[in-house]
Formats: sequence, structure tokens, C-alpha cells
Amino acid sequence: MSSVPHDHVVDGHAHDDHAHGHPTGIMRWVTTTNHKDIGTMYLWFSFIMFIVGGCMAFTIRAELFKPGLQVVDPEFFNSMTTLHGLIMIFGAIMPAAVGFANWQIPMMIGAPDMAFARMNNWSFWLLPPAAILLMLSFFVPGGAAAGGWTLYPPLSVQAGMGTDLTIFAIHILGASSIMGSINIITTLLNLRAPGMTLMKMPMFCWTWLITAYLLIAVMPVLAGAVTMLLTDRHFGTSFFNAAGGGDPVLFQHVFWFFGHPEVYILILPAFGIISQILPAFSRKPLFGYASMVYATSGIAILSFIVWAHHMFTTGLPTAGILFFMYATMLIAVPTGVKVFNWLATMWKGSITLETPMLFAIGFLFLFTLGGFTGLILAITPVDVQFQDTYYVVAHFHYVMVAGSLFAFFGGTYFWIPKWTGTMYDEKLGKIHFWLSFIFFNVTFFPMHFLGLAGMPRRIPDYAQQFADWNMIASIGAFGFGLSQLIFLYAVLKCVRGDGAKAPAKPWDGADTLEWTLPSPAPYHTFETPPVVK
Amino acid sequence: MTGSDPRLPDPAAADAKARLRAANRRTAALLFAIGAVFFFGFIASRVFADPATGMTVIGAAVLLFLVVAIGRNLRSRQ
Repeated sequence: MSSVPHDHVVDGHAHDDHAHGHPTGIMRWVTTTNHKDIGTMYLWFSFIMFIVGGCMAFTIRAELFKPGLQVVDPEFFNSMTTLHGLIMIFGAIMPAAVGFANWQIPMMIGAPDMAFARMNNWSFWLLPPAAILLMLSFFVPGGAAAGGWTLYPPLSVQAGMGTDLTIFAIHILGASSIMGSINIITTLLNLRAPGMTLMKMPMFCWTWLITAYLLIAVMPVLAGAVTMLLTDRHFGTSFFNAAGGGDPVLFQHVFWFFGHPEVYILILPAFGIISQILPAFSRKPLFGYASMVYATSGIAILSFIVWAHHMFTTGLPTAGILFFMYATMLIAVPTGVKVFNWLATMWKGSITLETPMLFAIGFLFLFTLGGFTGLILAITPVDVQFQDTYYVVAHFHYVMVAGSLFAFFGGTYFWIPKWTGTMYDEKLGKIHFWLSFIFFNVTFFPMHFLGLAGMPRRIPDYAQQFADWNMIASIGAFGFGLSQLIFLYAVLKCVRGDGAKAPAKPWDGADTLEWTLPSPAPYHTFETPPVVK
Repeated sequence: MTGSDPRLPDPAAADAKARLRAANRRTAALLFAIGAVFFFGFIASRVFADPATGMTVIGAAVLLFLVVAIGRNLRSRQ
């Protein structure tokens, strides 16, 4: 791949095309090719989907507040768990990560915009139709998909029209992700400022470069699998339909070939954000930059060879089980390198505990806990016991919520002075952190106990013995959800300019290129590329 | 008067922009090709119900990418 890092230009859309008289009002947002506008739209879209997915979680936890069926019928409950997963993964976390990438990557590498500005606009505007398709599926005969976010056959082959809409939504979301990834890789490889070699890129850019490669490798596989699911449903093929000689377990293999790297697609950008925040508030450079890059690459490569640890109970051969068990455990090595480096970055640093740093430390503590339960689940005999129990639910929420989501909250507080020109309300930020931290643990820590006691996931009713911890988890979930209104209020205050004016560089230890720009960052930045030494 | 008219585009800058656009498009085409190979290769391997087909498609694609990469590298050194 060529790298011509001089005299930047954005393909098909020279950056000075819209320097004068760009549209205002709604048309500004519909037609924009500016990476900051598109980043903002991604972030708002992801927050809206976070609220939608959160309402589904409220429904789930309301139903599980006590034993028995009292709020929704079981079929609808299954749709709630399915759509909650799909919306949080594809609608909330992934677009949030792309939103951060859009805002930050060009500014961090000294580029005027993304490499393909128009494609960037298309990437975003594919998301709302996909979200609408997912929501519409509740209103079609048979209701929304209810077989779990993994869309396993035979349920997904037999289910109603809602599954078709879900499959189309996944196609659209996949196309959007692939276009976004192509854009990010091209931007990072070809539009870096003169002097910014790959090994001088900020860690956030590195983690996104690797994430984008992961997306390009696995999204087409998921798209292929769901296409075949569609042909099984409507065109008489039998790829996964056992009645016609197909193999339902094949779908599981293919799905998790996508699904496990997807976990790292969701978490690597969060790693990148944490790697920017910790040095800034420790007032020290990131410890072991090169080893961080290699560890991130190692995690990405290993993520391709561990998929069957999600399938230990499907009857894999013993040699296969051993391979996937040890390969999964191996991921702890590069992940451990990263955690060690983050701790070493903080070691003897001049640490201050502003809100972004609190979220980063919260991430470090809780994500590591989620990583440890992942290691426990990697042990096959243990996993056979815990398969499809609440222990697994606890594990992946520690990774996804306390991992990705906490990092995104931290990243928002870290960069919002640059985005809006207004400092956030530190008191609100800290209240938001502590309520989120406490209620998160109240919600998800008891799920470990429920799982250990044998409570299965994806059920609307349960035995009396699980009642107490479920009640506590539900109280925590409502508290966690409502705490996010504080975040919304804190962000809206910044957007309205209600707060102290942000200096160009509000954080002492921040040293990446975006902090050389005024706050808020001008509509067009780095039209003349900076020279990095 | 000496020197060029500042209102006219600098030919060197225009050339650099054109080269950058071409580089961007080449990168995008290569990445898109990788995605397409994974998408169609996987479906093809199942349609023909032969694991060897999948391996052949992926193997051929990897070889092709390698040949193109080596060829471009050799050309850029000339």
C-alpha cells in the first residue's frame, strides 16, 4: 500500500470545496462530509440506540425482578434479549467507537479529514435505516427475532418475518462497517502528517487501525453466513437446515469466527481511549508503547483462532477442545502486557482524578475482573458447567459495559472540551462515574452468583432460589440506567456552552496533535499538515 | 516579471494530490477485494460443499495479493 503523506487531499472532495457557504440546518447534517459533523452524528446515534437498548434491558430486568411472569409474555421477553444484544453491539458500541474515530483520527494524525469524505457520509446514513428495520421487526407477523443475537438455526430458520428484517439490518450494518473500516485504514496509512511514522501514531489510532482490519476480515463472513440463512429460509437451500441435510453447528462455527473477533472490535478502540487518558492524567508518557502495539496486534491475531471456545458443549473432538482452550488462555498474555503497561504508566505518576481518569481506572479494575472470568470460562470443564448460565452474562457485561462503555464515557469527558469548547461540569461527571460504578456492580456482580448456582440465561421466569440476587440485580440495573441521564445532562450543558470556556489544552499531560488546535476545534483543521518530529 | 502566477494551481502540488488520490483508491480497492474474497469465498465453499474450494479461493486470493504487492514493490524500486 502506498503512503504519500504530503500535501493532503481528500478523495473526491477537496477540503476547500465546502469552505464557503456549506448548508445549514438539517441539510448540513444530511449532506455533510466533514469528519467532525459525521463523528457527532455517530455519537448521538449511538447514544439514542444505547437508550433504546437500555429500555429493553429495563424490560428484561423488570420481568426478572421476581419469579413468575408479570410484565411481558415469554415470546416478547425473548425478542427483548435478542434485540437488546443486537442493538447494544451493532447500534450503540460499534457506532460510538466509529464516532470517536471520526472525530479524533484526522486530528490526531494531522489530516484535514477522512480519506473518503463522501463514503464517510454514506457509512453513517446507512445506520438509521438499519435501526428502523430492527425496530420495525416488532410490528411484523411473528414479531421480532427471538432466537438470541447469535441467530442460531434451527430457530432462526423457522422464525417469522422479523428474522428477515434482522438479517437485512445486519447486511446494512455490515456494509456500513466495511466502508468505515476502509476509510479509517486508508486515512491512517495515507494521510498522516509528515514525520508521523506508524510507530509515532497515538495508541488510539493504532488500536483503530487493527480494529478496522479485523472488521474487514470478519464482517464479510457474517454477511455470508446470514445470506445463507436467508436462502435457507426462502430459497430452498439447506446450508444450516438439518431437515435438508444441512449442518446447524456449521452456522455456530461461522458465527463465532465473526463473533469472537467482534469482541475485540468492540474493546480495542476502548483500549486506545484508555491509552490516551491514563498518560494524560498520570503526566507520564505511555509505558511500553511498542509493546502495546505488538500486544494489540497479538490480541487481534489470536482472536481468529479461539472461536470454538463458545462451542465447548457442541461435541467438538478432544484435540479441538484442547487447542481452543489453550489458544483462549494465550490471549491473557498480550492482554496482561497491556494491563501491566497501563499500571506502569500510572506508577509514580503525578496523578489527578478528574472524571476521565476515574472512568479509566474504573475500566482497568472492572475490565480486568471481566478478563479473569473469561479465563475461568476458557477452562473447558468449567465452561461445560457454566454454558448458558448467568455467569456468562456477568462475564461479558463486565467486558462490554465496564470495558467499552466506561472507556467511551471517559473518552467523552476527555475530549468534549475539544469538541464543544466548553469544560464539562466536574461535579456532575464525578457523580455520574460513582453512580455508574456502584450500580454497575450491583447489577452484574450478583449474576456471577446466579450463574454459579445454575440459573440459565434467556428465561423470563426462574426458580425461587434465585429470587434475592435477581431483585438486587434489577434494582442495580434501574439505578445504572437512570444514572446515564446525568451523562446526558452533562453533555448537553457542554453542547449549549453552559460551563467554563475550554483552553486549547485543558489536560497537562495530553500531548497528541489535537491539543495543538483551539477549543472548540475549527470546522476545518490541518489544511496545512503539521510536521511531526 | 518572473515566477509563476500565484492564482494558477501549482503543477507539483496538483501532481501530489493526484498521486495521493490514486494511492487512496488503490488502498480502498485492495481492502474491498479482501472483504469480497471472504464474502464470496465462504459462500462458494459451501455451495460447492467442498472444503477444498474454500481453501483454494482463499489461497489463490492470498497468492494474488502477494504477487500484486511484490510487483508493485519491484516497480516502485525501479
